[in-house]
Amino acid sequence: MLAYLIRRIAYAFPILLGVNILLFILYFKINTPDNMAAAILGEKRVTQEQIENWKREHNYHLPLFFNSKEKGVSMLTQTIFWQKSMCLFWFDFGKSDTEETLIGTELKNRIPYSLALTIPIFLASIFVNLFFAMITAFYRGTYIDTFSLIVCVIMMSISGMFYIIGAQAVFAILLKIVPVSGFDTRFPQMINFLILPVIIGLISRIGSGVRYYRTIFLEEINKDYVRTARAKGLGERKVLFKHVLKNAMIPVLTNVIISIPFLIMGSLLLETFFGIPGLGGYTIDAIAKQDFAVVKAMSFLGSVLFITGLIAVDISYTLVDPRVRFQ
Amino acid sequence: MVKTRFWLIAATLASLIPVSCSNNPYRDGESLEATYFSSFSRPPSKLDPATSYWMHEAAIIDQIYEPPFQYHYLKRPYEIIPLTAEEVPKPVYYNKEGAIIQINGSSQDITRVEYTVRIKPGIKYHDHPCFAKDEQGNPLYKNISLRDIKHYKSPYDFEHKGTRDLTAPDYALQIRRLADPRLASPVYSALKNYIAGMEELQESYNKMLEDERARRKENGGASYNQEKDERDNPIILDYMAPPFPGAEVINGLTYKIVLKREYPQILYWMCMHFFAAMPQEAIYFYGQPAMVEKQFVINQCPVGTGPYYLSCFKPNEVMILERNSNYHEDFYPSEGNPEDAEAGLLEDAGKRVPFINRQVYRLEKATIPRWRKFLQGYYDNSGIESDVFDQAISMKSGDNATLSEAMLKQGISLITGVSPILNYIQFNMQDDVLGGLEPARCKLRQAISIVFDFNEYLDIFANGRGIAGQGPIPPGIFGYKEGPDGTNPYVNDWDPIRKRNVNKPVETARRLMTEAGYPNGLKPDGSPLTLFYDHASSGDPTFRSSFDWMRKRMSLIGIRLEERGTDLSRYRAKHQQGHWQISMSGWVADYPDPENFLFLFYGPNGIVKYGGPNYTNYDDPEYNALFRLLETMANSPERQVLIDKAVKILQSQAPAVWNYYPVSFILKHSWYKNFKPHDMSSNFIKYTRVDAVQRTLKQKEWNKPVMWPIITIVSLLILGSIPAIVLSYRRERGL
Repeated sequence: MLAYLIRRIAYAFPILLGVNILLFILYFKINTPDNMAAAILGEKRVTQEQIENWKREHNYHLPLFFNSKEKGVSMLTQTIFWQKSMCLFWFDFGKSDTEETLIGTELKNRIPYSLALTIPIFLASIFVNLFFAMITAFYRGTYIDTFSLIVCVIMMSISGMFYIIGAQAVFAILLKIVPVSGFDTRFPQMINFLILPVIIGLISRIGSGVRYYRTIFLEEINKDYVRTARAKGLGERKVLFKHVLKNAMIPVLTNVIISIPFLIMGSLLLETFFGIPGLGGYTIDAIAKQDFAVVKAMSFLGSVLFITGLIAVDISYTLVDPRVRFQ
Repeated sequence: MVKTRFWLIAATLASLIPVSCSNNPYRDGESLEATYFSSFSRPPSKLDPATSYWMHEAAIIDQIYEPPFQYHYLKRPYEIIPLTAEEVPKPVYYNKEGAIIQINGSSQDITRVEYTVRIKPGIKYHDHPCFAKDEQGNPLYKNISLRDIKHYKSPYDFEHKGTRDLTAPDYALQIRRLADPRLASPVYSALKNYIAGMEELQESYNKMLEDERARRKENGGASYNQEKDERDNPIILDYMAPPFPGAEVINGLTYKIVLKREYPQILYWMCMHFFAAMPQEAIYFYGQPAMVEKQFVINQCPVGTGPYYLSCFKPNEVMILERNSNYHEDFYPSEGNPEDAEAGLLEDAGKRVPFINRQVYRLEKATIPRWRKFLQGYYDNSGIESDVFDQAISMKSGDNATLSEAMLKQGISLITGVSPILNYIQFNMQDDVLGGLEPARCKLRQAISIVFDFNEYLDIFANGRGIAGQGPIPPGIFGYKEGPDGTNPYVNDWDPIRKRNVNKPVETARRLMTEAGYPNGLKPDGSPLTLFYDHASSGDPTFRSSFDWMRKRMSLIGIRLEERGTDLSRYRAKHQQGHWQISMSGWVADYPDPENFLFLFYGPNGIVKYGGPNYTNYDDPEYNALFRLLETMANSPERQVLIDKAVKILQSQAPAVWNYYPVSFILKHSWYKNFKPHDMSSNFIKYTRVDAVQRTLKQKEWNKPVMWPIITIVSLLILGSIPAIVLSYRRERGL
């Protein structure tokens, strides 16, 4: 398995390089360093001289990919691409173009806030979705199943914004039992600020989650080993929770484990509306502000997390199904 | 065992319920302190006084850094008074022989102007580790390693702090920093035209930087990365090394600003943070690699003499300003405008400021939570976003905005004021169709100005929050004329009933179009006149609707308006080269002087020929001559006459459509006292006061938790699950 892992990690490098090149080309195809400087410096009293100074200070005065003024390796290294993108491979994210802050420090500061929100949502949604999916599978064909189908479809159809604004109006404004927004790093005061966004995050995921897991469980329920279990006299509850649940773990794990790395990326809507200072809006804000340094760092991080998620899923298969072996 | 664990978990969860049963976002007792609570929607990115140019950044640093002068808090028109200086200096003029000359009005003989600033003795910086000294008197915190400060969250976590007196070299240092090319100070381009030796100073700094970078690049070889290198080993320029005649230190408490030409507006600049004091110790302290790595940098951790210091800077969450215990003597003004006494703004006259000990600003990106928290009493004041405008304001009697009953019931008051901002649609005066000063071209631009009815625009897009523009000078600035005297006679008429300017009828515009050679909007060859609107606003969600409005208005005189959207860089290039026809522009006053608006149309400021801020490239010899005369004059009836003439020329030749002057609406709670909006400065929080007891009582009254619906819903859920449990039981037993 170690060899397999090393191979997978080695494969990741060309993928990440490709992502970097693609992002760089796309970004500078529609944008120019002059444009970035103009947007960042603002429009009032900005002269071309200031734009040139800004580019000089932020290394955007260099050519994009090839520096013909240099000699040897410097022809490649003294370019915007090399200076801005290659350092990502040793996780040196550099400095934000707009805020002059270190992106690595910013990530370190923001990730805990995002995790404080996404981990409870993630764990609670696994538990709740599996639980309700099992219930609906258990009561398949009854009025409870039909009722849950209607409720799930309604929940899936409602926009996340509606949940947020509605819940804020009800719980923070009408009932006045939680703050509208804000955050407190102390425990248990933190709960006061997190309880509502966590519940909303959970509720907005229930509809699709329950339907998805129910389908998986129903697929398993029709298999031979379930019939055998029933034939030997096991109760329906035992069949479901002891046998079906275990065997349905592969698709469940695929869905669950691949999303674990992305927990650090936070939630854009929840963080924006509840004033949680996480990573949720970081990339979107950077795109709006033409902060290439942050955009490339976050895209790189996203790619790394995705690859990590895929590798983690593969590893988890061996844990739940002993028949799976890596070559 | 399992049951015991279950009850333990249940008890723990139950104990957390009381924590969750309040919508108060603050810690216990926090509201009872003399703390000002507010919010910000956009995190500040520049807190360096040399680079910060946005109002939301000024709102923070203007309370920390102190320039030598400030504006009087209450008096309007704005009046300059000393802050850290002993007095506001009078200029001394020199001719080319170096002799002092006395002038009355503007003079061509002036080749040098000096302003000597004397600083009050005994003013101290707030306590900061950059001033901490060891027993030998050397800086205590030099050569700090990252390991030493690994767990520090702010510079105030250093064990030892110190202070020192404010000195004249601190001011001279900051003026030199404006020329540092790395900082790209937004005011450098304006000031280099006036302050002696500023361009040469920047050249010297450029040379110093280039030499140092070339040396480092040679040592670093192919792997040299300028950004990383200067992060690991910042270049600390010796700012004081090159000669610079523009800021001369006379002694420890006196310095001189030397100008190349007459420019009385320099005093306004010296009320802004660009001219605040910067201690050399801060530059050395923050220049250490470990500090850069920890993000303890001037741009985020200001060091000043102002009434507050920034104790917590988390731009993505919260900013906290604490009272500076070393703050010098400063008193609430004893006089103001006549209406100020009636408004209770002189009740604290003569008292020492600041009254507020702490200011807490929370990031609220979304408007609804911000608004809701204001209504719940958790923010002391608020603006009014468009989506809640109807909830807050009722337009009952004519055009007068009054607070809605719900707001009045909460004791909220509304403060409105016209902002010194000009929004205008500009024409390219070098364009073959629209440009030029010939009468026919002027008539074409006047016709277009008439159809752009900005009273209608304000009603549709801005809840009526603005005054239709009549000329380049907005209200509150010397030279602006109210009522029928200020009406633009080429575009508007005065409506005595509604007491506002209204656009002339469209028929007048059509007549002007005919006189301009475009009857019914048709060119001599019979084809429709098509004009192009250049913009870089394609990503702006509000652009489409406002452009549609413009197109509709233009169609009234037969003109087809087409858009030419582009990116910001190309848009700038188009303006620099003069390849555009119509575009939108705006100007926020830097200082309360008509020169700050009229210079936008001064010929030698034209962007194509001179790279200046005159984007229209308007160049009328008569206007230019008037501008030169009035530019440096003190406000007087004579200056008003010249301004009137200059404005009249602009109105008749119409290089721009004077869209509107925005009106700001601010709401405040009854416990927030002494608040008067100030458009020129953000250092006014020191004069305001909060009645914390009243605030806490009101917060409790307005925010009593309502629990019964939750209890009911939980009970219903429990009851609703009973049939499922019964069904499960029956299934298990095959019943």
